[in-house]
Amino acid sequence: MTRLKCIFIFLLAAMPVWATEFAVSPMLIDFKSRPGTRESFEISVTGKQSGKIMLSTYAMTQQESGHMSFVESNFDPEEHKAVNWIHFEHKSYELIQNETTIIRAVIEIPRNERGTYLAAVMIEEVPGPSNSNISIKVRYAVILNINISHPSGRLITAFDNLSLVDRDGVTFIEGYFTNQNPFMGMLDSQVQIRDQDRRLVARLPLRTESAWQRGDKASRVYPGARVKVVARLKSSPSNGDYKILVRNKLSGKGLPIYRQEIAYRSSLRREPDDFELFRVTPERIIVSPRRSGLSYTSIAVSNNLDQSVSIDLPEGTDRDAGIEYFEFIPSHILLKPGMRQHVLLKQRHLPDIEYPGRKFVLAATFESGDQHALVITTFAEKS
Amino acid sequence: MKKLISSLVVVGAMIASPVFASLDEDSATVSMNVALYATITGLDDFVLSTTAISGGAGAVYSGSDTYSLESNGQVRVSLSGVDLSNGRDSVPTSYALDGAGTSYDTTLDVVHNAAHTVSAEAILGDISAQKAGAYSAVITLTVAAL
Repeated sequence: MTRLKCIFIFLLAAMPVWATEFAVSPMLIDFKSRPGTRESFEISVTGKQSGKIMLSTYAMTQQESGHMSFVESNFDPEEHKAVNWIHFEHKSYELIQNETTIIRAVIEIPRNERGTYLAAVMIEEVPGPSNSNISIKVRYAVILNINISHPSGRLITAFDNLSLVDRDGVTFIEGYFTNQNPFMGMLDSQVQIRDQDRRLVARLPLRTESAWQRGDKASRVYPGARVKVVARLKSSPSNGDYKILVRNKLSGKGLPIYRQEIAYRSSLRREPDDFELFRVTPERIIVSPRRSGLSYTSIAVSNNLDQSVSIDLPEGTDRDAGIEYFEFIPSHILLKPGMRQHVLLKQRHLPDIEYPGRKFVLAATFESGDQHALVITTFAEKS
Repeated sequence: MKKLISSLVVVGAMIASPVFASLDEDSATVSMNVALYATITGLDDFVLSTTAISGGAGAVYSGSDTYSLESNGQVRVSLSGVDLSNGRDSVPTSYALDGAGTSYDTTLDVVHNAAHTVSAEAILGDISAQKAGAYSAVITLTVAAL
């Protein structure tokens, strides 16, 4: 019993309480209206249980992902003015089990308004009293899509910030589209990616995250919204410069072609690492000078990259390290992916100076043009 | 010859009669618009409990409930919730729908009638990071067409 008390001493919730269950229809109402008119509408709410519901109006804003969010307060009264056009017969209703209640409301559209406006009627249960529990509240948003006739004119849009980005191990191309028109438009966007030789790398549809999730072929963009349109590349392209072309259509009307050059450097490829990308064997390179003052050390270099690499091996002198002269033989190697090659480090040591070991810097140039300094460290026999 | 002519007249009349008959016909297109409808059932408050020492540092409290979503078209369900609190003390709380994320869309152009899960997890800080007692929070599930 004590243990039982102990388990529940930090009880985070109490006895389950059933929420008022109800169903709402319709959930989306499209109005095609004119300025200065009054539109009435009805919402049916069927109580699966008896209970009380209340109504409230919410503004709707479109997020960068294309998803819509509901804003109860602190919204821009100019941008979300439609919220103030909605009037209910009653603000709350008592539901009776298995009976349908009709909610009546009107929208009064001012004379000087044009374009697309969104607002939501939020229908939510009035929760009963509860003590120390996790309450679950279910609410249904009835979205009012109000289209007020507007004269057709030149489309005003913007497209910017096109980029190739690596995220979660995948390469995406993404850009931002802004709809500066007073009406909602369906954005049909296509991107072409070509390399410097104008070879087509990819041709993909660009859509908002919301459109991809919903399976929509075009992205809804509401007035004033700035949305991110994105496409996933099947594979990460090679590092290099790309010519990008984006063709946009808003509600079927073509928009100016957007062009941009992007220098892409993949973050998905591993950064050059001496021990992972170039395997140098032996791991501990011991130099043993001979009586003649010369030393010959055999070193194997393996290329574990998925691209060829060209390596220039140095020659020179380092009297501080007691080396009169050093060189690698050969002085240049080209390693294809997976290839391994031996080089010989020849050193002429100065007499009376004990070899302290030394770091040799090799210049590696990748097929992609990237450069990297490969460091080979040698040790004295006694160290 | 007369027989042939009379036969042609009879055949012609048979072919022609439907043409004239169609002039008297009228057609009507029957249409019906079914509104988008959605309901969530079977959802109730749930308890978070732990298998660790209750009140112990880092104890993880979790709980979930299953509900049914029925709709005749595509809807979006999103969850919002705040940290569990007891007066001024609060416990970091995370929520999920179907084990991942706080929203989901049902499939386009398809009716939906399936069970889903809402879950919550709260993790205590140090023993003295929150006072003992009953903590509570409200989770709101919003069903919308967009």
